[in-house]
Amino acid sequence: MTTKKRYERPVIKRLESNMPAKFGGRSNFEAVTHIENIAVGELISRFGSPLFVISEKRIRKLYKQARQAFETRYPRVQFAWSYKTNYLSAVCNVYHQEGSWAEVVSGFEYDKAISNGVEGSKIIFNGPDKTEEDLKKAITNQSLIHIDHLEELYMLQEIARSTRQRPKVAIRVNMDTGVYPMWDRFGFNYENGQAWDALNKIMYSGNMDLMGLHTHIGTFMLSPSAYAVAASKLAQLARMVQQKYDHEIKYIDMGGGFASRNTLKGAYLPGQDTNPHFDDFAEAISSALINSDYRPKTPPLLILETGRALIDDAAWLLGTVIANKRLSDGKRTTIVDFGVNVLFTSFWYDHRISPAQPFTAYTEDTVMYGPLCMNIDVIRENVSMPLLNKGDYVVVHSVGAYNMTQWMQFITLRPKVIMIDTEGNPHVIRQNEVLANLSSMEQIPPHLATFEL
Amino acid sequence: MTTENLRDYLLTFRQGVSNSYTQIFFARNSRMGILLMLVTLFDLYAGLSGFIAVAAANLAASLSGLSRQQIISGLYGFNPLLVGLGLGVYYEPGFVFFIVLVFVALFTLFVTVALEGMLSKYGLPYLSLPFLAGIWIVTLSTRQIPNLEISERGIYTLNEMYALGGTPMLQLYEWSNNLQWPMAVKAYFRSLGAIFFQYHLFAGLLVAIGLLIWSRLAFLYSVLGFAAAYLFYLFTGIAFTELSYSYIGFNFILTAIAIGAFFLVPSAYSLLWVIISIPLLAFLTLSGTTVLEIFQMPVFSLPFNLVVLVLLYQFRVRERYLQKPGLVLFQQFSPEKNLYSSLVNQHRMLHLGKIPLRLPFWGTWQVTQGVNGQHTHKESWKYAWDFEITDEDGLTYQNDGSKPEDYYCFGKPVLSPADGYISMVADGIPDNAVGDANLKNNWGNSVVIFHANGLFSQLSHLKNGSVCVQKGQFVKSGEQVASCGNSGRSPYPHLHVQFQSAAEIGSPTLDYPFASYVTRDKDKLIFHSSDQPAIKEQVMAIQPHHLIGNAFHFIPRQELIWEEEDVTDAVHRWVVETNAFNESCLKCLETGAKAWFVRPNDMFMFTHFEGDTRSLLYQFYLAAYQVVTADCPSLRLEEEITLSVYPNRLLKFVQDFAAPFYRFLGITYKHTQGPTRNTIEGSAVVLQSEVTSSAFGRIRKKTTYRIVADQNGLVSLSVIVDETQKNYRRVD
Repeated sequence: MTTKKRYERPVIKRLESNMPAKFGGRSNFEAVTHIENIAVGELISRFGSPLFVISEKRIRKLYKQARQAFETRYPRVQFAWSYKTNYLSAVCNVYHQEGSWAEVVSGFEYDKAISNGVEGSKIIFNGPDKTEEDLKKAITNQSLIHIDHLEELYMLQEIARSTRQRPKVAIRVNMDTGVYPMWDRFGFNYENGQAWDALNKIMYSGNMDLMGLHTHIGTFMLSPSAYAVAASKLAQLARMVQQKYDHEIKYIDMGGGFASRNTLKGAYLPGQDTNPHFDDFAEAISSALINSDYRPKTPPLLILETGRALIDDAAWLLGTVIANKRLSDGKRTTIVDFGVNVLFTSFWYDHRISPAQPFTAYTEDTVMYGPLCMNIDVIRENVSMPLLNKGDYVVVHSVGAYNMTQWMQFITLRPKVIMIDTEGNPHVIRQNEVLANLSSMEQIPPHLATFEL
Repeated sequence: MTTENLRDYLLTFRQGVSNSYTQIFFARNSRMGILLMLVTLFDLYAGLSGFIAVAAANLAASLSGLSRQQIISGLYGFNPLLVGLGLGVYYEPGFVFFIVLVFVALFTLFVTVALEGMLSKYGLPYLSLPFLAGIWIVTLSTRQIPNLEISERGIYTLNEMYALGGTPMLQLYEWSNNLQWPMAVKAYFRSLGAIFFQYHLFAGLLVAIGLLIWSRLAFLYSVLGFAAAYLFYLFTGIAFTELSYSYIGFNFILTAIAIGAFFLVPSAYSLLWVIISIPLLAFLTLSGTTVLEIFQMPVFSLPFNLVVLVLLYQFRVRERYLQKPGLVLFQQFSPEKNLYSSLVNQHRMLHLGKIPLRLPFWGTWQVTQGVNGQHTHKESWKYAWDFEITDEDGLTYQNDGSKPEDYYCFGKPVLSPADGYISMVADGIPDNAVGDANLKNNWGNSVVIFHANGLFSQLSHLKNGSVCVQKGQFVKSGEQVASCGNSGRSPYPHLHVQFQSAAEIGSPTLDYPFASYVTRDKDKLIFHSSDQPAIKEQVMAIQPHHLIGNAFHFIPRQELIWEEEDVTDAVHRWVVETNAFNESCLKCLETGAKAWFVRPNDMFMFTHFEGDTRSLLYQFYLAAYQVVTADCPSLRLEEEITLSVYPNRLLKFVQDFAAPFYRFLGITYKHTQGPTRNTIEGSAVVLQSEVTSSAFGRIRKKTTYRIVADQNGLVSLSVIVDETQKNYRRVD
């Protein structure tokens, strides 16, 4: 018996008889038919399409890699899970099980961390918008409050005075680390003396405990050396505090911003090959700290808030091809069932997308559109894909960071998220949205309740 | 002199005298002291002259400025006491006699001090040698003193007994004389009495009771030793009357106690040595008697002294089988305490006397070649370790492992294991390509650090150009000295560590442990206070936990005051005390109980407890029996607690007899450090322990303790027995 061959549309390709480009003859595509040993087709038939898939095993593995990179280079290391990167409770709890604290940037995230069971003293509260109510709660719980601006510092002082509680604080410091753009909108600037000024204000206030120093020099950083500059500047501040006040800083929080394997839009080479690893960041940070002049009795705890590099590569988005089209200029397009509302990061990255079934060696440059009836809904402007048919599945790689927090309900409803545990069993960790979810929040004034057409 | 001073002197005097009596059996026990003193007073004048001799010797020792501690422990008094008792039996009391006695006591004291100086160099006791010197010399010389009259007491015993206690005393004496006990049993008790120059059964019975009060094991070994001697006499056909008539049977008893239970940890091995000592004692008794007969002098305790000294010396200079039998290292003057402590401390006190040398890296590494390893750790260089870093899948590299940089350990910081001076540095040897080995510069780039005379550490195969210290420079423990590399005889990047006795690179290695590290066995963390990691083990260097460390950092004279929750006026006050030997304890001001502790590498340990077991301090002793003050989240400890503190006294009394051979009682301590990782100020840590006492494997009592500590130190202690919970809060 012969199996029926899969139909592939005809394709015309220019014959290139000259020397191949320096990157070789053609791209090698591999079909990604299984995720953690479960067939993509099976996942989609069980849980629907599109579908976010997170691998618990991969999360733990990445976490351990990061931990090892730092712990073999510096004596005291602590990770704090950046909630905004992915605050699905199941995801957070995997990190908490591995020993991560929580790093939150809003009252809502703070409450989420508490409800996940994180002890108050192991929550780092960042961000420019902390309300008085948030701060009071954080002070009572002995959380670590990272002050972003002087208004917040004054508010904390006021609360400390009136409630007779001592807030545990750090300041966020921004600085020139030699990279562009300089992230100077958060925290106090190092070079112009604002950071030193804020530290003096805290030390003189007498009613706050200065616990640490925090910086976050940027996002998706491709240059580890910038971290070395930042770490030595923080160490310098710590030394100044020690010298002037005989006060030892308890921790240095280097923030996050480590690049994942994704490829930024406009990057010349794929991120997978060129982005620095945990080891590069760890080497830069820890050697800068160890070689600094700051020599306290106990070395300060090194806190890392990296989110993206820990989760991005542990999640995939599965989707289905809706249709193929040819544009006016002859370019191929493929329409898939997930749009930029679900895959928000497609604004930043050229996501790696693989077909989920085997195919021939022929590929064609394609525009990949989402299903939204909006012009902005472009998943990839130009991607070399094999010849997909309606109903074929595709796998988008490295989607763990920011998508499941920044996605929006727009035109379509948000899909399910599943997590495959370390034994290989899938669990739904977030149900897909249904109409009732949305209508439950709406209220219709009585006079608008009915109409006739 | 203030009244307080006077009270102090009187206390010293009382203790010094009492302990002089018990010291004859190596004991320090006030109840036994009173009993023995009573026994000596059966012969009133002998007892009195014994007392005068002790008092004179102790006073003289004190006035001439000898060690107060030694005087209190009775070590200067017991030989004069024996001389006094002996002379008191032989001579009629009188003015001349007492004058002579005082000088004899002084003479014995001087001999004691001199012998102490000679023998302590060899770690040996002087036993009753000063007594022998005193009594022999004095007996020989006093024959020429006409004003000393030979006593007739001891001949008309009944008269003396009557004089002492009237008819009841006489009846008691008669009763004991008429007991139809076998000859050997009677001989045993008579020999016991003879130690105090009381040659009758009744005195022996009282001494035996005193012995039992002090130590069940001392009594047991004395009986076993004497029985063995009896059998030996039967077997060889030596007339047993030798033993019962001349009363030198106590030599067997004292030797059995000394060798079997006191200087050695009581065990089947120590019993074996008691049995071995018996023929020696018999030979010495017979030969000694023959020689001394010429001078009409008894052999006294000469056999005991000689045999114990030669055996002890032999045990001290052993280099193998150190636990068969084990010498008592920390003398607690109780065979039971010595035995129970040695059982629990054999693995608890491994750090004693060691300089803490820590793992020279951060994070978790794997031992890829251990002591006596299969590749290069052989012969003179067998005490060495190779370390590498592995990932979850057990691989030592990422990518394809073809470059040194692919290896996780390559370039990682290498630290100084302890404070020290850099004594040798080699750098500039290139790192090998993976798979290659530089046999010419075998050790590669290396750093040798001097920690103490004869103790150096060597770190080898370092990365080319990574050595960041200079010869002669001082480095702190944990300071980076270089980076891990692939130079020398190193086909794959790894770190070679060895401890050695000389400064040259590649000196012969020393059998020395690492201090304070953690190994992982599946999900279980095991803490090693002082140990040598084995091949394939994942070892993790640990960092001090400042909250726990601070909570158990007790400053001398510091007071800790505890209040029981919901109970008014239930205040417990402890003070931290440190003695002249730098030994520290917590002392309960209400009960006087003391819990002695040490702070070895990253640990807090209670070593022993003395005093009232109903005090809160006793609960704390159990709750914090052993605490790791380093950051080891979810660490579990399991330890045995010494049976000396077993709650049921009757069971313990029975257990004492069997303890060297079979133990049916047990106290276990289980301890968990909560999820404490990287706690910084503002949080609290909870240490939970569970103490279970069991008999024949059945749990009799289980107590759970919770200790909470924050940045201000200890906060609270909860004691949970069954359903009832008592909470104590620190209020100072």
